[in-house]
Amino acid sequence: MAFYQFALPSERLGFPVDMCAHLPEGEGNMRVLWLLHGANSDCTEWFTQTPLQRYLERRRLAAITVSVFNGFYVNMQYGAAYADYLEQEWIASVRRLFPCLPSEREKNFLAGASMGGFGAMRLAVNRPDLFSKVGSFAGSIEMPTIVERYQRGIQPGGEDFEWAFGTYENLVNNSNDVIYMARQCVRDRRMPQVYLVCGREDFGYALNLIARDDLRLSGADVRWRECGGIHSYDCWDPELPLFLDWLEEKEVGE
Amino acid sequence: MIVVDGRARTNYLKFPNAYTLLLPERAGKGERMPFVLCLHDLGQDRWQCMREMDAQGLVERLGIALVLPEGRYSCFLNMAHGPRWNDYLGQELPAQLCHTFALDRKKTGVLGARAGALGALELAKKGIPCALAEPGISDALTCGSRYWPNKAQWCGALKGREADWQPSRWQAVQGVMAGSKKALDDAERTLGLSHWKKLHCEADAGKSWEAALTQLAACMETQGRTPAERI
Repeated sequence: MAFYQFALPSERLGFPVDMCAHLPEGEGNMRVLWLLHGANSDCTEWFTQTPLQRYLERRRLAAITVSVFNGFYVNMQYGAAYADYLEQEWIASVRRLFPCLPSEREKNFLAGASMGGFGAMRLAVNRPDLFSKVGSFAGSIEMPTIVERYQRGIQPGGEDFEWAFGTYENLVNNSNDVIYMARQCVRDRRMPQVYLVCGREDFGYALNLIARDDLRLSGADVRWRECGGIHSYDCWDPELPLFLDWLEEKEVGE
Repeated sequence: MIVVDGRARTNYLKFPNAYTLLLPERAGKGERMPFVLCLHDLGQDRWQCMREMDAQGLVERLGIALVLPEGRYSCFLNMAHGPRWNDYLGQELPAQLCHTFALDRKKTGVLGARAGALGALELAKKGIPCALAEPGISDALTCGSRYWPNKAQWCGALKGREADWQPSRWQAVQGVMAGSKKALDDAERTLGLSHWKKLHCEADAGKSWEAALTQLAACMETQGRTPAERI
């Protein structure tokens, strides 16, 4: 297997974007998992917080990560237009660098943890043509609710919410509203399969249950995994091989 | 030249930030090196310096280390709606570097290239020896200039801070700048930097970097200043 760190230019963002890539070596078809990091982190997170490369060793699965720092994978109110970049440039620019990566939807998957879980769901429902499966590890999928609760002084958060979103109204019934977009994807028969993981002691557990139910009510095919644990890679790491099995269509119990 | 690519957690930014450290080969033989923070332009990354000039030749000749931090679209400022990049540069990063590598906290300088000049100027206010390479001051300060990919990014960095960039705020700040006549005249006119030492370089950008760094290294040798603030 091979590991790369690099930065690719972006016309939309106007600055180079940091990424990491793990590619299986040797001949043969592969599939690819596009991975998004959580808050206060960067493209190295999945590689430093989990033994991801060890899990990928016997799989023909590439993993690509990207840095948005605390940009929440949206077009920021006071910052970079990450949503436009991810939807329109990211995938194509990485495939130009690595022509071995497959372009078929059935071979492309997306996942993220925490803020990255929201990012993965948001990207998946805005570009359902790109990904057949999407995973969220304790993702902040119900982001409009979370930001509204922050504005009301209930939910801890920070200035990053304001820099990214402005106010919660900017997240409702538009491309930032995962449930809203998921309903459209289901209606258009394009909704990727969804896999949600959350620890029972995670501060976001209740909202993850709501996200699961909202997505199922919208008609999405949602696999749910819960486990003991809080909002941490200690909780998500043991679940990662099961998620990879599901991507590769091996049986996973609920 | 030794090249080290680093990535470390930060308190001021909250997310990890990457930097590249360029060390002369004689580093690590018992002496602590002076070092210069090289602040890249908008639209560039931390390797701009290595692309535009003969970094190896300069590092070995001057016997200083260069630290190339990532700064994305912050111009290395405490942003109006964003993280405190300048405080990270002035306080946190030097402490991290001197703890990890054989660098001399008492001999720190800063160089800003084009829009990176803004961050360098803010550090110059705190007493850090400063040089500018082909400063792009009025372009960097102008919302809608081609420097800025979108208005939201300019707002994040500079909105509401226009008063900080008036000539009256820069009268007591000293430094040196190298570049084309157009760039130096723009800096002088926009910020009132007529009292700064000027080195005209009408050739490529690399010559501005080299001229600025050479002069800065000489200043650092004679002044031996410490950053005014500590963590």
